[in-house]
Amino acid sequence: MNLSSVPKPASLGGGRGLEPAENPLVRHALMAAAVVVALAFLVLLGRLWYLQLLRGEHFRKLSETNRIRLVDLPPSRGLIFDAEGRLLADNRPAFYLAVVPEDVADWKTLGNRLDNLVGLTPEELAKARKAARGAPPFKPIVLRSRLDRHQLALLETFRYELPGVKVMVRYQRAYLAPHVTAHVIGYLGEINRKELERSSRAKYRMGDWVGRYGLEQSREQVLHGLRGARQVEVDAMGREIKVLKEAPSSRGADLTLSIDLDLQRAAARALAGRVGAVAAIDPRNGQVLALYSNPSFNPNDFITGMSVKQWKKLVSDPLHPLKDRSISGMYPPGSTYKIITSAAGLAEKAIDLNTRFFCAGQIPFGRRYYKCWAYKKGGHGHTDVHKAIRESCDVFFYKTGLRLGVERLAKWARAFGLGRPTGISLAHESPGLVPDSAWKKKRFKEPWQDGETLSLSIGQSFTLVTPLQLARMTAAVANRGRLLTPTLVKAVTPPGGEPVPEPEPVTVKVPIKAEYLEVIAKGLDAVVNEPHGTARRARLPGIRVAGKTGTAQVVGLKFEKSFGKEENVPWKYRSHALFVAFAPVDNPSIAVGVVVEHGGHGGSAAAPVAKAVMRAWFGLPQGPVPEFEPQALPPSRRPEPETPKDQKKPGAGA
Amino acid sequence: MIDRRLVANFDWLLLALVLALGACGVANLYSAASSFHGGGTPVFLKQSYWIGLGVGVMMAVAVVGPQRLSTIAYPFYGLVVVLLIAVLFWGKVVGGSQRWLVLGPVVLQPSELARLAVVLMLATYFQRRDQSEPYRLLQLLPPLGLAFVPALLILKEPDLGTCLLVLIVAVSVILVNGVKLRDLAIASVGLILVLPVGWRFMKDYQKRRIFSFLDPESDPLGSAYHLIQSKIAVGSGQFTGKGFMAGTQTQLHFLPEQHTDFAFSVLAEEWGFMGAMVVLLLLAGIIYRGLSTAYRAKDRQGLLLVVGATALIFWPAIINVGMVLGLFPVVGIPLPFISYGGSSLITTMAALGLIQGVAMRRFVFHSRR
Repeated sequence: MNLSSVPKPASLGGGRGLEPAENPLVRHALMAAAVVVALAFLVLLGRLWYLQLLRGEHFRKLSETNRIRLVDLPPSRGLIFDAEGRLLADNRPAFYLAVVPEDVADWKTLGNRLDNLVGLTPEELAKARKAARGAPPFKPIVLRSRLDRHQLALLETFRYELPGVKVMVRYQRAYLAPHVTAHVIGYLGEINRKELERSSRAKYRMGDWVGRYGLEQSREQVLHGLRGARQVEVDAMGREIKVLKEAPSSRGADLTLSIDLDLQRAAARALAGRVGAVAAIDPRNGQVLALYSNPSFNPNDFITGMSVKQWKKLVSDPLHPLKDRSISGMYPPGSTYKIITSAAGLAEKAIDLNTRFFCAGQIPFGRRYYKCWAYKKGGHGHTDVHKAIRESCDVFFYKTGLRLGVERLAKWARAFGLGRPTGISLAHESPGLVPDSAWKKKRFKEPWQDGETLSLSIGQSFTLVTPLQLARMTAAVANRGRLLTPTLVKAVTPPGGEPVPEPEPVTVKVPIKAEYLEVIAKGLDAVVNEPHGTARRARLPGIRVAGKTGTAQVVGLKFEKSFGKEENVPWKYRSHALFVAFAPVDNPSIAVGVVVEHGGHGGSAAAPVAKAVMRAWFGLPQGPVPEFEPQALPPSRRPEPETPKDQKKPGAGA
Repeated sequence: MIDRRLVANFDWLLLALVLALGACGVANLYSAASSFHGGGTPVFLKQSYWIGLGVGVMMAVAVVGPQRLSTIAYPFYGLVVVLLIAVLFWGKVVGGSQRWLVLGPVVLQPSELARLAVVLMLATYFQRRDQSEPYRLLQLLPPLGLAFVPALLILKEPDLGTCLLVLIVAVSVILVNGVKLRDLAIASVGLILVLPVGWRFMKDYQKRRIFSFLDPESDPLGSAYHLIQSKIAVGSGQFTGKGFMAGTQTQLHFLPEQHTDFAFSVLAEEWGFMGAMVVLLLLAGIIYRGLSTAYRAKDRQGLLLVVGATALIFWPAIINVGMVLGLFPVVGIPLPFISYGGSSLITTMAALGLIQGVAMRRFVFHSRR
């Protein structure tokens, strides 16, 4: 220790200025540290000596034979059942051909043999080998991803002449009601690099399949299961001769949905040849009974692989079959919005049961007239709220809306769950839109106009809703004020366990007196069951239905009328048809929302879809399908007239 | 202005040891990652760049010196805690844990900075509370608490290895700093009583790792398999090794993480007992230089900085090699200079910079500013 003649520094913290090493304590501590370090290194050296010199021979042998391998045991995915226990998503065995490079003695001979047996070309072989470069040589590489029975038998017969060749089985997802449940269940895709990086190796490996859409995606965690592995000893042919250790994989949990396949089928049948969607909810508990969007697609194509052409066709289809319109299609609510306007009017005391407005078929406002749809008949005359709902009188709601103003309408639209996602456990849900003056200022840099309030109150302005939101809003009327979170999964069954019911969904109270909702429910009952009701066609034998029709204009009324008769209007300019309903009136067990795109005026196109779903729910025989004129879808690539500038002018409801 | 005497006292031997070890690491990576056909720059080249950058960091830290560093000790510590919290919210998830912060082009691993911050913080803390008698337990609670904050945040990522490392380094510093023996005994007993509580906070997979270490039969797929393959690789190297680029376990990818956590098994397989011994001796040399610098430090802060920095190299080395040889559970701690990894290399080099900084100023007056 070189104690120089340099004077001691004044130490920083106003301490003693003692050099640490002059402090015996520190000296001892450092000595102890040196001993610890020396011991640690000695232990490591000792261990090295033991492993490399004492047992080196043994390990050298092990490394030369490379006998111990780890075989991955991927878990099988949980199954998905409908409410009645019918299987919707299964796993089916698929055989494939693989080879373990490590165990191949002679590639040339092998190539020839496989060419003879299953017609494997040298190119195929070269490609597979190239793809497997950098992977461990004991890892099987896939030569052929699908084998038929005949090839299987051949390979099995000549197994002993094919060192390293393996016929392997993997379980592939199979959807048993493909088109009918495509959007709800979704599909799988092969895991990509990014996802692999984010997940733990214990869970996912290259080549695993993960949910990409629908419940397969949102319930991935539950469905996937846990992988296992097997340590095996192999012989020179690469055959497993001894299992050293095994940790079995545990399969994913099964899902039992609240979705009923019969209702899905009824919806699909009713929507055949049309574009639209339907959502049905049990208003007692929020369980979704049906959720269907048309056109649909076959999710099995994603599992078995699609050609580029098929894929292109699917994504460039102008009708967007991959889009789930039931949760992400946004439409103006049309007259179905009058439920909101009535509730807001009653709750905010803008109207009461005795309020009567006179409808002469139109009202003047600003510099123009706002028409009622009954304009040609000379209007509805004296109208109270019950009659207004029953006959969908626009004038009554114009006046109610004027008394309320945009902010209070927006408040009540939100109270019924519009303008935000419902919280159903699916990705891609659209929030819809509830406009207010702040929104308009942000979006258009313009103040809200009172004239817009008029069209808003009959559901024609900027408001946008999804079919699921419509069903939820209707359910809130049906159950007298409970806004439910829609759920799709009834129970989760862990492997080998009992089904665990899903927790009850969250309920929010709509802050409105039950008696007002009673008024609205009675009005909706009248729509179907009283003379002059606008949806008398929606009646079902033996079940009392309540409902509301709606028409959502796509273009200005004038422009639409300029084509003359409705059937002469080009498809893409026709109004959307909407219908909401619940039944039975006195003890509702189902609430439905339907949108048929460009389905024309009134509920004529949408009501039958709701009826079909309700028939299935109540076990009634299905009526003849279609219950309406078959509607021609637009021939694609036909030149269409230019879309006019004056879109979304307020006009008639339904 | 750099004083001539600063240069004179620069520990050239330490630098030589470090560069020799770095060269071993690069050569080993050349072999370990040679059979990966990933695109981009080869791993061994990237590692060399990191070493170059690391030497720069080391010089910078040495030149700035312990005194100036101590003025930013607390702000730096605070910043690291903030970054550790940020990583839990906005971190990039890799392999199921969130450890990286992406700030534009820079990818930062705050847990690495935390290792340095804790050492710097402790040295500064005790410098201000310099005393010649041993410290009592109550005096040690605040600094221990300060060390626990980042450790717990790192545990949340989850990164059990680095969390333990931070704690072990902090404890090493505090022990060398001097603790009253009676209090040390009390603390040890306390710790043994607290352990079951920590057990409850661990993730299942971390518990499994510890189980599988205690009983390798219990986890045949994960760590136990890695351990077996690692032991086969190391053992089969025997005395002289299989030769460079000729390790069958390595070249055939039987080894997991062979260019990161298990890089040492590649080295032991290809260079045998001789090669492994050389690397261990180089490491021991670095640790020895660290301790002797600590012995000659001029004040408590210098002492503790050097002890902490040495611990930052010593513990990961022992834990990693112990893991590879099947003496410790598999925790993801890289081996300094040998495992591939930019951030851990930079941390290690910064720690060496601390040692150099203290060594250089052995004969310099403290400026009284």
